[in-house]
Amino acid sequence: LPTDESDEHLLQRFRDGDAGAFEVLMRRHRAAIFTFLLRLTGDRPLAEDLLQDSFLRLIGAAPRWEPRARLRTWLYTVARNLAADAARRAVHRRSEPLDAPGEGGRPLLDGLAGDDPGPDRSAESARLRRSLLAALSSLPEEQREVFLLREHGGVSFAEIAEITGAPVPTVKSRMRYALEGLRRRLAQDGVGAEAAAPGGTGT
Amino acid sequence: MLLDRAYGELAPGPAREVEAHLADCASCRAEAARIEETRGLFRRLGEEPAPGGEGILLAAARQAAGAGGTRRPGFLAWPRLAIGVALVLVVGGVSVKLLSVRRERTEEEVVAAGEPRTPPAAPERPPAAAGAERAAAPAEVAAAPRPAASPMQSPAAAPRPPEPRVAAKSAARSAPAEAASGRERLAAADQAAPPEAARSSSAAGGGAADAQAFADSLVRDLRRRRDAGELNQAHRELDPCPGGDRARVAWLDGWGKAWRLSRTAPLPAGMGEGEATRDQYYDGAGRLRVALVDGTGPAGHFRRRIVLDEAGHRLAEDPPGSPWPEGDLVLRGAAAAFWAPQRCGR
Repeated sequence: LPTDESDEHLLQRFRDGDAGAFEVLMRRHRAAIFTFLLRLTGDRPLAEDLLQDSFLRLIGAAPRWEPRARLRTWLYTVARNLAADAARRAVHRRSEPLDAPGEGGRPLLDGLAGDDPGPDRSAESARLRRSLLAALSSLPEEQREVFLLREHGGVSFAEIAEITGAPVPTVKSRMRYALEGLRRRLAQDGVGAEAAAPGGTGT
Repeated sequence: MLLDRAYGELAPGPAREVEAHLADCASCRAEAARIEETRGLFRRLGEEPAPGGEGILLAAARQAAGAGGTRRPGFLAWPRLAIGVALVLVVGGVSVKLLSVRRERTEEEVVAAGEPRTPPAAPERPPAAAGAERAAAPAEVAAAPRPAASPMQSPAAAPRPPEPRVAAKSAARSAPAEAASGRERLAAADQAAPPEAARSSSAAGGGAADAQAFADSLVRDLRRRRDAGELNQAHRELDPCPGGDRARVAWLDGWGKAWRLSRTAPLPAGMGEGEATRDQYYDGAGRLRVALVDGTGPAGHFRRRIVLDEAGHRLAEDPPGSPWPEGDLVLRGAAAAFWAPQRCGR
């Protein structure tokens, strides 16, 4: 379905009764939103449910959708809020965090590590991948969501502030802590600059 | 500022200032390099392949688009459905329901009129992997209400038109695993069914035996369809509140029709402290025909079995005694009752 049509225009067409336009939107964003949800929650079945839920909401919201924000941002917002709700409920039910970082971070890591590394990934890149996911899972929740929204979702700091209800400076400091925490964790794992850009110092 | 720079969020003016500053600040340059380095590593993670489930979304989108555009006001109940409610979408078919709750009546009219409907999306997975998936033809849906002429006829014995198949089921994870866990969750509710068809003295006329036979076969038939994966189980846990439902379970077909609705809530007013599960089974026309109540009240554990005719009159109630309050049962509109928001203080 190669098309350069903008998300917003596609949504307009869907509002006018063209289900094919929705199909294009779905194919365009589904993998990215799923990746975001999987790395945010560390729980594959949950991420799959939330993914479906997010797009069903898009269908539901289409009639009322206002082109105030980009559709992409809207999708990340909904996905993030659904994940936050799910985490809250899980805490409520089990009275323990869904994915406590650090020592308790194992469930999250397990969920992520269950990913099929794919045939074309070498052992070394599989190791890097594990390290990256472990580093991600070691972040506190509020840092992880800021990092993923900005880095993976391409959501601006101002928009993240709106989504998370935290002031922009707080969002940015969470991002700084996240980047710093990730770097430190990766260094512990022996992953550093040399893996990203040959010739770096890694410290 | 370095973060804004890294993510391209600086306006041209400030961007130039930051670059000028970086030229003079070695530690700032090092910091900027560290940011880039970490980002570079994470870019190598790439994207996960999207899981299955496109079919259900497309079917839902077509349903919405097919309703004359999605502009129809208020045809979705999303906000009310979702807020403060633990909503577990067990299988994809359930999700379609979410989109058609408000249109239930319209759907029935459409089906009754035999108007062709958009067939759901073809399964995405190859046939080998699509054990539980079946294509649905619109005509089959129109033929769905089964005990048509003679409602007392046993569905099992009746000549059966093709069943409405569960469409676009590829949404969720592996169907067999789901079905298994679904059955597990239902195990407790299943035990609520009395093992034998108890004959009731409160039924009038020779219809009672037929009513019992119909009730038994209806329950059996629906359980068989559930086991065969034709009905999907949806489960809602509701935020507890005085007088409100605690949990609801529904068996939905691919078109969102509820064939079974189980509701766990406090005992009806005047019956004292306690809780009961109302396990309700519906016929092809969506009428309540069997209700199995299993609860605990001031006098301890109790069970109640109620059989209704097609007009909603009680043919049998067992054990006999003061009848279970009618307002406590959902006679029609089981799907809507399943999705309805929590109501407290009844």
